[in-house]
Amino acid sequence: MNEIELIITQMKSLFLHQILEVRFLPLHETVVRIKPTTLRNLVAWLLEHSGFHHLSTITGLDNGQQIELFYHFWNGQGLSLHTELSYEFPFMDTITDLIPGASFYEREVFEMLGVRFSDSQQNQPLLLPDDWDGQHFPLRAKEKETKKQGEQ
Amino acid sequence: MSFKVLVFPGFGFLFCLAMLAEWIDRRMIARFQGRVGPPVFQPLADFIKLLGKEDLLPTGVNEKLMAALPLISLAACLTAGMYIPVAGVSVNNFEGDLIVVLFLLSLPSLLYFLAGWSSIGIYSILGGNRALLQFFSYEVPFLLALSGPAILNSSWNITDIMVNQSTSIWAIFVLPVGFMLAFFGLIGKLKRDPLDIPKAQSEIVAGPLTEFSGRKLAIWHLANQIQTVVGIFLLVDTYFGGGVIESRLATFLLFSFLALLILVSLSVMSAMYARLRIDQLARLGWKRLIPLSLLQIAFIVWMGKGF
Amino acid sequence: MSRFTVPIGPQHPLLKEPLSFQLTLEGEEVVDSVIRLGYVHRGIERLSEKRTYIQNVHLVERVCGICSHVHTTTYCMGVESLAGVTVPVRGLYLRTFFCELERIHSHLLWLGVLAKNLGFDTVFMYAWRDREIVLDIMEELSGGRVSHAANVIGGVRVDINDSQRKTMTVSLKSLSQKITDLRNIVEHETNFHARTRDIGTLTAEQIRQYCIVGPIARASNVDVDMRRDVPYNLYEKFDFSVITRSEGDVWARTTLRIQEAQESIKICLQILDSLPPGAVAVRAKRRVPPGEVICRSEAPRGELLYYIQSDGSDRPARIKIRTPTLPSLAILPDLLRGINMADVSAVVSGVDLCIACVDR
Repeated sequence: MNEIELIITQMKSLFLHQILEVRFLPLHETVVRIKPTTLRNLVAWLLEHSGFHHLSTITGLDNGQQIELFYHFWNGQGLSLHTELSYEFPFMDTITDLIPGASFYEREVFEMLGVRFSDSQQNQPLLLPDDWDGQHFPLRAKEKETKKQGEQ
Repeated sequence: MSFKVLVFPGFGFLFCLAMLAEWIDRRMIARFQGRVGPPVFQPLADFIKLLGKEDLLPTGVNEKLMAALPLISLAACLTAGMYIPVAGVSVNNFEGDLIVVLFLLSLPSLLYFLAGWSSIGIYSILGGNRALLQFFSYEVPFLLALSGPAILNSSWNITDIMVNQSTSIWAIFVLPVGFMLAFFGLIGKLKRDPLDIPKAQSEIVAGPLTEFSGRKLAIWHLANQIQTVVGIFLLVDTYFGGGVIESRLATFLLFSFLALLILVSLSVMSAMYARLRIDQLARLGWKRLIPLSLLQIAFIVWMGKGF
Repeated sequence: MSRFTVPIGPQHPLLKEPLSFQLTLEGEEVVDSVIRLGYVHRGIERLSEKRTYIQNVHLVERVCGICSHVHTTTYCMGVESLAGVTVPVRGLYLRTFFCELERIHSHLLWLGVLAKNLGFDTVFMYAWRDREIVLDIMEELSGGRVSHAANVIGGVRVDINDSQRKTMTVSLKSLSQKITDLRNIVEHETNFHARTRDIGTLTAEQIRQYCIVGPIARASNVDVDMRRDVPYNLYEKFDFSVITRSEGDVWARTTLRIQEAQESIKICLQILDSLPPGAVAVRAKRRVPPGEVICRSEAPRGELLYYIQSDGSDRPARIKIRTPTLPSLAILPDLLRGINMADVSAVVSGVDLCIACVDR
C-alpha cells in the first residue's frame, strides 16, 4: 500500500460521511470528492498529518448545474480535493489562514466564478477591470450563454 | 572676445568635442558589450532630433524656472571651459580660476537637484533627493583631490599648475591616490554608470529629468557632455601637467592621448560595474574616500617643504 | 517623515510586462505595496472552451512568450493521456530537447533583465547575445524563435537530421563555455554582490506557506523539481542534478539559475547524442473520450499544472492553467515591505515574474 492510499484510508476513517468518492487519475493523480463544509477541516488535517502542504492552485468550473472547485495539492504525487457548490449559495470557507499563498487563487476564483470566500475583503479586483460591476463572472455558464447570443 | 566665446575655446569648440566624446564613449561601451555601436554622427543626430521634439511640461510647474535650469547648467559648463587650458593653450586665466572652475562644475549637480525638486513628479523628487545625497558623497573628495596639485605647485591658477608641472614632475606620480579620488569624483559628478544613482532607470525612470522633453532635455544632455569634456581636460591639466612638452605638435598629441585615456577609462568603468545603491555610495564616500583625501592633503603638507 | 505613493507600472522601465505596484514610501523605505494584475488578461481559459483540442495547442502556446513550449507540452501530455495516445520515443526526446532549450533561454533572459535592472548593462548584453544561440537552434528546427508550434497532439512536428545534430552539439558546447564566463563575471563583480546579497531573502518556511515553486524555492533550499519528482517526457533517462542553495536571496537565485542552465545544456547534449530513430508523432483522433486529467511539469519558473476536463466532444469542457509565478507574486508585498526603494528593482526582478502567465 503506497503513501497516497494510506492517507486516503485514514481520511475515510476520520471524515466518514464527508468523503463522497475517490477517483484515481493517470499521471499519479488522485481526486477525492468531499462535502464543501468539511473542506477547511480536511485541509487543516492534511497540513498537519501528511506532507501535502503544497497547494498548486484552485480550479473553479461551472458545469451548468453547479460550481465545482478543485484544490490541487502535491507531495510527490497529486491529491485534489473536489467539492461542489450550488448557485444559490456559492460560499466557501477560506483557507488563507492555513495557506497564505491561497489568497490569490481564491481571489481569482471569486472574480471568475463568483464564489465568495468567507474573509475576502479585497475591494479592488485583481484581474478584472477597475470598472467591473462585481455582478458578472466571466467563467459562469450563464455568461457564456448570453455571450453566444450576443455574438449571433 | 566673441571669437573666444563662440568658437575657441567657447561654444563651437566644446560642442564639437562634446559630440565627439559622446560618440567615442558610446562606441567604446558598445564594443565592450559585444555590440557595434553608433556611427560618428549619431550624437549630433540625436541632439538635433531632440531639439525638434515636442516640449511638454507637467501642469503646475514654474515654466520659466524649468526653461532656465538647463540653460544655466549649460552656461556654467561652458564658462568653466573658458578657463581650462587645452593642449597647453591657455586663453583666459587668473589667480584662483581653479576655484571658479570647481564651483562652476559643481553647479550642474545642484541645478539637477533643483530640476528634480521643481518638476513635481514623484520620480523627479526621489531623483533630486538622491542627486543631493550623491553630491555630498563625491564632491568633497573631488574638491580635496583637486586641491592636491594646487597646494603642490603653490598656485590656484590652472595654467600655472600646468606649466609648473611641465618643468618639474606630473602630479599623478606624486599623488596617485589623489588622481583616483578625482577620477571617482568625476564619475559621480557626471552621473555615469556605476554612479548613475539619481537617474537609475529601473528604479525612478529618469530621475530629475523625467518630466523634461524636447529642447530642454537636449540642452541637459549637451551640458552633461560638455561637463564630461571639461572635467576630463581639468584632470589632464592638473594631474598630467596638461601634457605640455616643447614641441607644439607633440603637446597636442600627448594632450589628446591623455584625454582619450581618461575618457576610455570612464567607459571601462561604466561597462564593468553594476550600479551602487545610494546608501552604499554615501558609506563609501564618507567612510573611505573623505578620510583618504584628508590624509592626502596631510601628506602634501608634510612633504610640501621639499617643493 | 511624510508618506507618498510611487506608482510602478503598468508602464515602467523596471517591468518588461504590464503590472502595477503602488508603493507607499517613507523617505526611500517602502512601507506598503498594492499589486494589481489583469493588464494582459486575455481570457485564454475561456477561449479554450470554444476551440478544438488541436486549435488549443496553438492557443495555450500564447499563454507565455518565454516558456511557450512547456505550455503546449503539458497540454499535449494531458490530452494524450485522456485520449490514450502513446507518443513515439523520438518525439518525446525532441519535446524534452525543446523544453530544455527553453529553460536555458528563459534563465539567460532573466539574468539579463536582472543585470539591466541593477544598472549592469554589460551582463545584460552578454546574456542576451548568448541567448541568441539557443534561439537560432530553435528557429532552425521549428521556424520560430519564441513561438515554435513544435508540439502536436501525438508528438512533435519537427525533426533533426544528422548534420544539424553535429552543428548543434558544437554550438551548445560553445554556449556552455559562454555561460561559464558569465558566471565568472557575475561572481567577481563586487557591486553586483552588494546589490544582491541578503536582498529579497525567502526562508524555506515562507516558500512552504506561499506554495512557491521552481528556482526560487530551490534557492531557499526547498528541493522540488517536477522533472525528477514526477518524471515525464523521459526525464528519468537523462543524467542531471537538481541544484539547491541555502541562502534564499537574489544572489543565490542568480547563481542557481546559471547552474541550472548548465544542467540543461547537459541534458540537451545527451539528447543529441542518444536520439533514437523512428517516427516523431502518431496520429490522434479529433474527439477525446470523456474524463479528466491533471498534469504537471517543470516550466523554467517552476511547477506548471493543467487541469483538463473532457465531455467526449472535440472541444474541452474546461482547461485550467496554473502558472508558476502567481504565488511568487502573492509574496511580493511581504518581500517589498521595509526595503530601500533602490532594492525594489532587485527584488521584483529576483522573483522572475511572468505577467502574461499570471494573467492568462
